[in-house]
Amino acid sequence: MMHAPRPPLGNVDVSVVIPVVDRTDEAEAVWRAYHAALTSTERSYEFIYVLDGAHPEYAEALARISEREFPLTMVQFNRSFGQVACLLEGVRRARGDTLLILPAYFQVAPEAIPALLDQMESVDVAAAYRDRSGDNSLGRLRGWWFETFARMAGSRFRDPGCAVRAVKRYVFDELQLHHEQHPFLPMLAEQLGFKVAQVSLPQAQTDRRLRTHNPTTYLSIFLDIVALSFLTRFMQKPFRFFGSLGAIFIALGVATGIFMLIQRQMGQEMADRPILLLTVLLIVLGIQIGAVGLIAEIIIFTRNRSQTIYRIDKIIVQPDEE
Amino acid sequence: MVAVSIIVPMYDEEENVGPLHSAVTQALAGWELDYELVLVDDGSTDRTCEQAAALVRRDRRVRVVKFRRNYGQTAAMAAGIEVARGDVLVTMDGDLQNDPADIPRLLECIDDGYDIAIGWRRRRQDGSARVLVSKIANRIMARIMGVAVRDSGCSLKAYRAQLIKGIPMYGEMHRFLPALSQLAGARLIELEVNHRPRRFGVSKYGFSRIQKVMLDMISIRALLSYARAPLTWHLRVVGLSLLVNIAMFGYVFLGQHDSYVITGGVAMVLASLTLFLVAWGLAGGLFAVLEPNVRTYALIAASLSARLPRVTSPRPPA
Repeated sequence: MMHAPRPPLGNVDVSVVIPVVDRTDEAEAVWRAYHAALTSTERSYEFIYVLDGAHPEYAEALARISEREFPLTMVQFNRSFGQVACLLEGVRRARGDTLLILPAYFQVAPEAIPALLDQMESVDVAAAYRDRSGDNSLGRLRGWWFETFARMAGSRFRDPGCAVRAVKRYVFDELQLHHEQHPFLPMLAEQLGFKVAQVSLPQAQTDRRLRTHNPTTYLSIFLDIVALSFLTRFMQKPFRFFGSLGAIFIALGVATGIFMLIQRQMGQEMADRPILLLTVLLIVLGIQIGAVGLIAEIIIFTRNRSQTIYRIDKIIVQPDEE
Repeated sequence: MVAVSIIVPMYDEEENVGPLHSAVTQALAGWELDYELVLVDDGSTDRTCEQAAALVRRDRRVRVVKFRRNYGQTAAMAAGIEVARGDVLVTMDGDLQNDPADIPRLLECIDDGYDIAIGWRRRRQDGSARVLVSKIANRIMARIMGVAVRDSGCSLKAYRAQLIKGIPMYGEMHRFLPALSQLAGARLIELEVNHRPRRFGVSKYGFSRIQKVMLDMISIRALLSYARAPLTWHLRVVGLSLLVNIAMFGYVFLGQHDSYVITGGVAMVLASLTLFLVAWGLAGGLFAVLEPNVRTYALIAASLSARLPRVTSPRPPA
């Protein structure tokens, strides 16, 4: 871990948190563009870079900027921990009340970013989405798929892949962000009752290039969405999910059982046919799935005390009370 | 010191806030009773909260809890119960379909030593489909839970605060409180109450769908037996599975047939189920060890048998 000289102490308005994970553009150009955009807003700001594992050239470039032009905070992980870990580490070190989360590459046109900050007076989270009108068709298709799948998980937000967000710091006091859930930050914040706004920003020129991802990336995104949609829908009542599933299996088992009994009436022997095994197997499977659901219920029941299911905004009483 | 807390969840009920307040005030006017009215604004998008806040300025007995967003009726009830300070908690709907004039009768029952007094809407003023769904749900509830609460969907209820303050509330737990409490040994009484048609607005909380209610009841039944005996509650299921299993093995070895492969397979599958259920019960027991307050509900229920102090609320002069 290495620290650049800290910016002058005292509060800043905006803490810019930049996780450096795998996709990067040229460090100095990105910083210069963000810096220029923020200077135009007349807010005080700091930069916090969190490097996910070794990025030697990037770290060198940042050190150069830090030395010559603007003191940056730089945190370097000793190995890769993922985007969310970087984000949370940056948040922990931030001193501003508003956090501006930016990618380490050009995703939206940097000069448009102040529009996001202007929203922050009235909302807790402002999430950008890219105006894809200039994008290539593969990029657009990919964005559309991601958005559609995210909708399955209950997200109403456009372009979850856009990493440009402005977030009030106190949101992170309550928000629990787990592994690779950063695309769903706006949705999770909204579930906690925070106000979330969406802002359309022009897409950066370089983001319109044709890029390809590893197929495993798509698979892991898909699995994350499935897990999240289960959590948001059945967190309170897991047995509604497991119980329904178990009931389907038991119903199938009973159906094959009845079928078997009818055939037996018609003179066919029952005990030496594999369908008997199938019947018993289906019913046993159904019971087991339901039992897993009950364990899940027990976990919720026992852990429920520590996490309330609602968030109180305020309690209004007459001033002389309490 | 507050004797009675009246808890009312409200969701988009701006027209009903004022009338509700005056109805409650009127109903309890003759009683020299310290009460508070806890209004829970469940993330309304209309002016419910402003109306309620205006009431707070006029009447010091009113307290308002405002949610950040809509969390549903159970959450609103849970928050109201959490915030309430009374020894007796009265819950009711915010849409004025319950008649606040019934509250004194419920309180009398609590005074007489009952732990819960629930309203029974004998003549419901809702659409017939709604009534039918609710009737079926109640019938199933009575069957599975083994208790008879005629109208579990009626929100107008009075509880001893000690009884429900410790019960974890999530999902749709508020619907099952009377049944749960009755199973736990609380003394329960049903009272016929008025049910009035909606005067303003539309119904916000939708139908209780039968499948969901059934699944919820199975899980709550299991949770209740778990809360009573976290380490041994599953033994009955294990025992049943073991019996079937032994019978199957007996059939395989003693029966007069020559299909050992299939029947042997069936016996093995059943044996795996028995093993699974043992492991499953142990896993559940683990949580009881990790979280000592699992037994809270059982303890609350047990402590009820020792008589609770009476809540003295002077009757109005005859």
